[in-house]
Formats: sequence, C-alpha cells, structure tokens
Amino acid sequence: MKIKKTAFMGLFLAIALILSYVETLIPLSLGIPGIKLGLANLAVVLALYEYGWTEALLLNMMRILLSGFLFGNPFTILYSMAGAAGSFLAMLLFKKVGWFSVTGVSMVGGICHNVSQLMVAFWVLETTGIFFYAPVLLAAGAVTGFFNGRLAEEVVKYWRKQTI
Amino acid sequence: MNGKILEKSWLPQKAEKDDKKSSELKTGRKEYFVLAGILLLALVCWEGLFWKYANPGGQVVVSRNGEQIGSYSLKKDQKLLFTNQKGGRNILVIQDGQVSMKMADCPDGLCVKHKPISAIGESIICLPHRLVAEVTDAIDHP
Repeated sequence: MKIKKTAFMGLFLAIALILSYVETLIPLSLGIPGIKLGLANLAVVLALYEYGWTEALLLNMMRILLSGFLFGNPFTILYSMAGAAGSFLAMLLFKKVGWFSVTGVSMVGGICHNVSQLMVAFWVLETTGIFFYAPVLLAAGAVTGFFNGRLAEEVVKYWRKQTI
Repeated sequence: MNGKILEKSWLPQKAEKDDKKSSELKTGRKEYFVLAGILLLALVCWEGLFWKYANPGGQVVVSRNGEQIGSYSLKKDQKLLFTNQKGGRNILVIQDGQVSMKMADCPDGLCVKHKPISAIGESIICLPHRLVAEVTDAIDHP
C-alpha cells in the first residue's frame, strides 16, 4: 500500500508540474496581469481527497518549488507560496467543515489564493491602488476554482470507482 | 493474521464508507449559489470602483517601496526611466494622457503587459522592483 501511495504521489506531482507548464502556455489576459487558470491545483485537490492534508501539503510545496525553478524565479516562488498557503488553509478548513462538495472546496481555494496574493502585494507595495484589482481577482478565482473543482470531482469519482 | 486484515476491508463496510463520502462528490445548488454570489459581489465592487474613479486623472504618481519618488503630468508626453538600487530599470511612457510601462527588466515583466492607464485610481505595478505608478487627480499640477 505504501509503495502504491508513493507511486501515486509521484504521479500527482508529475501531473501538477505538467499542468503548471500548460498554464504558462495559456496566456489569460483580462487587462491585469497575474491571472492564472490554477490547473495545478487539480493535483493538490486530488491528493487532499485521496490521501489527506499532509500529503497534499507536501505535494503543494514540491509543486511550487519545482515549477518555480523550472518556469519561474525565486520571486514567483515566494509569491506562489503566499497564494498556496492561503488557498490550502481555506480548502482544508472547508473540507473539514463539510458544507461543500469538491467543487465548492476548490472554489474557496481559488478565491483565497487570489485574496492572499493580493494581501501580499499590498504588504510589499503599501499602496491601496492595488485593491483596484480585487473585484477581477475575486471573480477570476471563483470561476477558475469552480471549474477546476468540477473537473476534480469527476476525477475523484472515477478514481474511487477504479482503485481498490 | 490474514483473516483479520481481510475482515477490516470487508466489502459491505467499504460501501458504507463510500456512501458517507458520496455527498462530497456532488455539486449541489449551494456551490452555484456561492459562485453567483461571489460574481455579483465582484460586479458590485467593480461598478462601485468605477463610479468613484472613472474620471480622467491629471498626473501619475510613481512610488517605490511605498515612498513617492515623483509625479508627472499626463498632459505632457514623456518617457521616464526609473532605476532602483540594484540596477533594475523600468521605462514609463506618458502619451496622449495615457500611461504605460514600455520596458522593464524584471524577471516576470508582467507590468509591461498591463493595459495603459488613464483614470484616477488606476495603477501599473511592477512587483519585483516594487514600483507603483498610480494615476491621481492633478492637484500638484494646477
């Protein structure tokens, strides 16, 4: 069982990295920079539902570090860490409370990812002008999180049917 | 030993566990309502911001690390070069009352992709260089 888990964790990490790469190929321009599809979060949600929070956290950290070194720079790593931390905590909380399905949890994650990045940007830049971005980031986080969640839900459903 | 392990993972038990968890796997009305609510909230904020700020600005205020380092009138077309302590450069261009970031040698270069700004409250931000260009009213340039 442990070996199987190790193998699947490796697979999840590979999926997360590939999705991070796919993300860099799809430019999403809404007038303001920095909006992403958040596809890599799919793998994190999968790990969260299949294994638990420690595994998902590990996966998340590895994903950010590796994709940061591969496609970004130390600065983006720090920035992604902030977003991931907020998003992960929120997803954990909402999964525990149990109000939402996978879709809802992922949606909350998407929103909190953007909100915490906005907070960090505010903290770094000390300008209130940055909150001009808030509505767009809020909506984008909700929409991308929602659709990623729908996707994750289907995958988890299929997953649970297939594996013993 | 073997019997025990088998007993634990006996089929009926697993099915029951799956049933309990199946509600996680169904997108209900709740999620749609929350999504709609968030979108509505975002729209209201967006409109509110525009209601407040959709006036053409008079000047662009540039600051680094939260400290103002200069303000420039939007009426005068000009090219501005900003260099930080580490040699990171940004070129800001003011043309026809619109401000845009022409060049930045920061790692991500996101600010260059930002659309030109001209209304009060709008800003272009270069996060790696901690440079902010914000359009404000023209108090400093009467």
